[in-house]
Amino acid sequence: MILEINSIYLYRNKKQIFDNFNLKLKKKQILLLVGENGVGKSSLMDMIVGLIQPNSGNVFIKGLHTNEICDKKKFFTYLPHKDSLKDNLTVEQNLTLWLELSSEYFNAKDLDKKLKFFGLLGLKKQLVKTLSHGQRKKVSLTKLLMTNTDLWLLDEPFNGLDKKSCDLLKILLTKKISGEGAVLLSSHIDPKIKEGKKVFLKKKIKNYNHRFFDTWEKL
Amino acid sequence: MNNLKTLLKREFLLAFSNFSSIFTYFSFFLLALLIFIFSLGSEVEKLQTLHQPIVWVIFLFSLILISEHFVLEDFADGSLRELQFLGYSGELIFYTKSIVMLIVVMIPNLFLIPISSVFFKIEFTNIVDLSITIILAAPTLVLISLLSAFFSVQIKKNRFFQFIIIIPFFIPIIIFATSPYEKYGLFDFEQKFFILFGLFLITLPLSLILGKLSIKEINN
Repeated sequence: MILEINSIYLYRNKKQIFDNFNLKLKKKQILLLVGENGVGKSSLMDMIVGLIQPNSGNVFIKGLHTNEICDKKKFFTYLPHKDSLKDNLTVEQNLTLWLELSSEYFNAKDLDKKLKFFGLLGLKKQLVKTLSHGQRKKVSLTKLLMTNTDLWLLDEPFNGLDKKSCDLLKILLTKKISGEGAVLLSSHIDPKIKEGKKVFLKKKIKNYNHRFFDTWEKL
Repeated sequence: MNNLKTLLKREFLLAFSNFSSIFTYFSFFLLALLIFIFSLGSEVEKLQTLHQPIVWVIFLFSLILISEHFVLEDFADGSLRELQFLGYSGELIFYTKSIVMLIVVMIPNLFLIPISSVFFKIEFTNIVDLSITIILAAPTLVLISLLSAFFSVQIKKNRFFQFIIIIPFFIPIIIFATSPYEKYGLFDFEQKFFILFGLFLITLPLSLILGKLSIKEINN
């Protein structure tokens, strides 16, 4: 089991997001979190990578509790909704910087090959601030080609991509699970991935404030 | 140690990839100096007595102005969160940002303080005291203003509170750094040095802890 989420309870902004939520992700599996905006897809991702702590419950990656993992970058690659690209750096500088931060090693020729995948080679020396939304997204997705981690966590990876790039991303995901990898991705629309298993998230009606108020009235 | 090196390299690359932060600092400093000079008139004696407080006021305001550059951009594009899930600790992020900010602030000061002395018709030897006190107080002030910038990311709605919370922490440093010891015999230079260094030693661990908590809280 690559990822295991056990009995998660999460309250954010006085609202209950998860109520005894469980999830298991095996090797060679793509799990697709589908749900409308604000349902908690990004919060779940943030919880897995340890950016936010659940009110109760546990998250395990490869059998290790997320709080016990010291070197997180060796366990997963997370591409959040915001691309984390620096406007005043070129595409090449941005990717090199990310490689250094992730302690991944790559030589320049290989970087060119990887940039070719999404058709970004011509934009290598271009400043990121001059790129379109879709091009920025592709730069961000190129990071997936340069990482060796088994678990990919992708938050809305299809947003802003044209059909050709969507197909390329699907190929990339299929290739990932043909090895030892696993992918957890979120989307507010169905990206129609054949190998993907869908997990539907629904909005909780319960409100933390109301619960507290009910109790107070009873008192 | 490798994490520290990588983060320092990143911060330097970002700070010097465009010179907007240094340019902003430079232009704000010069413009503010000119405003004071034009408003006070051409009385040389008046200008000379006010030189030190004016430079200090401008220095403090430009610090607050520049500190937001170091935090807001990283927050807006998601890099602050990226650094955290890549495993870089809040203390390390805060520490590297303050080192780079200190350098980015001190480089323009090497030119700006002598330039200000020309505007105020002060002999070069007389600005040594001012330069040294600014150099001594700068690390503490950088830590506080960076903390203030992290608070400003936190307090998205009412930034007035940011100033209420942070500005009192500037006051002890300003008192000890600007006290005119030669006139009133309050402190000699050595005492001033040790007081400012002591304030830095108090601020460093406190700001690292508060900075870490502040960075962690940004995700909630």
